Amino acid sequence: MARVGLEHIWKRYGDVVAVHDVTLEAKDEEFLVLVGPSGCGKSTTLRMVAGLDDISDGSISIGDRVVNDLSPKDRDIAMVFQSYALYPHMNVYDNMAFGLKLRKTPKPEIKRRVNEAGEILGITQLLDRKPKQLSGGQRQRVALGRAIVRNPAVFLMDEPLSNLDAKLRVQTRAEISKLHQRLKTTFIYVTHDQTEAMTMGDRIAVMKDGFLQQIDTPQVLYDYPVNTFVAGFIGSPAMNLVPGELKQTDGRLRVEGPGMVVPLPESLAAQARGKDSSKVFLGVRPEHIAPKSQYNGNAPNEMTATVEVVEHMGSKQFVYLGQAGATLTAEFPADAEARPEQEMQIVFDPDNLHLFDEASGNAIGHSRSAVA
Amino acid sequence: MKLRRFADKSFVYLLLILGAVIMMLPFLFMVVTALQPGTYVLSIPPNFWPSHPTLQNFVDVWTANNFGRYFLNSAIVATTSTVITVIFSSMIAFTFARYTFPGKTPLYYTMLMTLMLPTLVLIIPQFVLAKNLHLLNSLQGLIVVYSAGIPLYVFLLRGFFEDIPQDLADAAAIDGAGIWTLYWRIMMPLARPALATVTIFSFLGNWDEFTWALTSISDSNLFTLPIALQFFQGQHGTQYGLVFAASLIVVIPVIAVFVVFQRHFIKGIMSSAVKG
Repeated sequence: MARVGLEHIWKRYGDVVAVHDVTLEAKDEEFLVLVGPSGCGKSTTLRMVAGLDDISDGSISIGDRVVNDLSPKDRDIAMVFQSYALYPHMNVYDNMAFGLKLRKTPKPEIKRRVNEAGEILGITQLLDRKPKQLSGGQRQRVALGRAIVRNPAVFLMDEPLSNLDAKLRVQTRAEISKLHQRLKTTFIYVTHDQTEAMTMGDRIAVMKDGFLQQIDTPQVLYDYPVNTFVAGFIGSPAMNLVPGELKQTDGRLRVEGPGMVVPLPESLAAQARGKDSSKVFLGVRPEHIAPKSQYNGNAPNEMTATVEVVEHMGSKQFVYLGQAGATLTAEFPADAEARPEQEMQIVFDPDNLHLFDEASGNAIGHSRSAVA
Repeated sequence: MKLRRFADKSFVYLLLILGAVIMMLPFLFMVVTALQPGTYVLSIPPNFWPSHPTLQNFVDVWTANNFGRYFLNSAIVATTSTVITVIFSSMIAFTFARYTFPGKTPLYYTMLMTLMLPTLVLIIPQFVLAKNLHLLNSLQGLIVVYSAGIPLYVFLLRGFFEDIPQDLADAAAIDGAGIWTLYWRIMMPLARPALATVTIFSFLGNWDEFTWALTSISDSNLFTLPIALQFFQGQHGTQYGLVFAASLIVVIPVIAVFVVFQRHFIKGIMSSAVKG
């Protein structure tokens, strides 16, 4: 069992609090991703799990053991660093074998494990080379290999793909996911890239300014963000957050903003009841904005927008729309007609709206309320 | 534009060549003088090529005055104190670079302040101390004093150790390395260029040291080479052929050390220069 539990973890550097009261759990064999912008405390949290940084308060357990006072080597973990942190003066074999040698593993066993890891990662032909003779992708594999040979209970990865070019990153992303399936071990993976988080994680913990914002499966985070930060961070392009005011007329709730009146569907209205006159953000994802001409459903909202920029992606197009001084990002099908400066009527899909309190940023409700 | 760059480059090279010639001329004169009989030494104009080449001066130097013994003494003292200096200065620098502990900064600056004391000011207290510790008139006394010249090297190495990425130390900690393993198996191999610099500087300083050796050694069997060189300067005349042959013998190990370590040395000097 290699469940990793963090309970009320704090990290303080003098007066600066880097991690505020974080409680989360990586289940056994789970791929948990910590995601957030730079300085959000995700790497610090990972380093505390590794034992590289002390915790100021709280408790960390790996398996059944509280590891607060254990040194990194006694925590049964392996870590892959953003810089790979390969020892430059050792060849690939020695880099991978170093940890085992320090643990006094018998030589034949070291050889067997290094070769096995080498085969898994396809680097057996590189074992005699020094790190400087390797490409970025190869170094990354060696760093993974160094972690694998140890056969640890938990893998910790701190932005391991950040130094790779875009193509290799996508490829390696899939390989790490495959590795996770093959090794059936708990992975905790830190990244600032929401795409990596969404594609790799069984669950994702979103952090900001040292606070844990939300932890859940990628789909739940996408469909039911708890606040504007998660709504804006998860998903690319980001969710549109349109400022407006919640008003009630004839018993029906609607959001009114500049050049926009959006009646709320009953599912969402039920969650927003009693908050009339509040300032809110209406959230709508780019794929839930459509040209009226192409919208098949019955949308009780409609507004005029001007096309500013069109980005063709091949299978779809991202259209930046000017609407009452704000810019909305919409994802249209590739065949939808959109030219710069074109004026068009657009609609928001009422089944996919999100409502957030303007002051706190917290979610008031989501159209798809069944799961929320 | 191209012509301008060519002219600039030529000027720089010319200047460098001129500098090199000025530096090498005395050395060339030393080699030539060592390789010819004494009668030709003071000829005008000076010879820059031996007119009657001979190795007699070297034979005379080596056989006279127990020169081999002095050479051995110098080798023992310089090598031992260099090894001690490299090990201790790297340990201290590693600690200052990678760890925090109470009083770290004042301790570091106090250590650096000792660099500001002129060597001659220390001669008397050093002498008294050595006398009380029964280290006078012994090679151990020389080794102890020479090995105390650590602060400069700590300063040099600290910058180098600080430049080694923290991730490597973290990776080593996760691999199971303690402080000693981190120092010996990770940091020391990576600091090779800086260690080469320290080795050369330290060896050079110890090999050439004259004042303390002259002050503390009275037994002629324990003399080192810098003292021995004096023997060829007589009261009524100096045998320049012998002096230069002896000087050449003295200088050869220094050149050898430099040649062996120069690749690392240049890297070390450059990185410490950038680091400050």
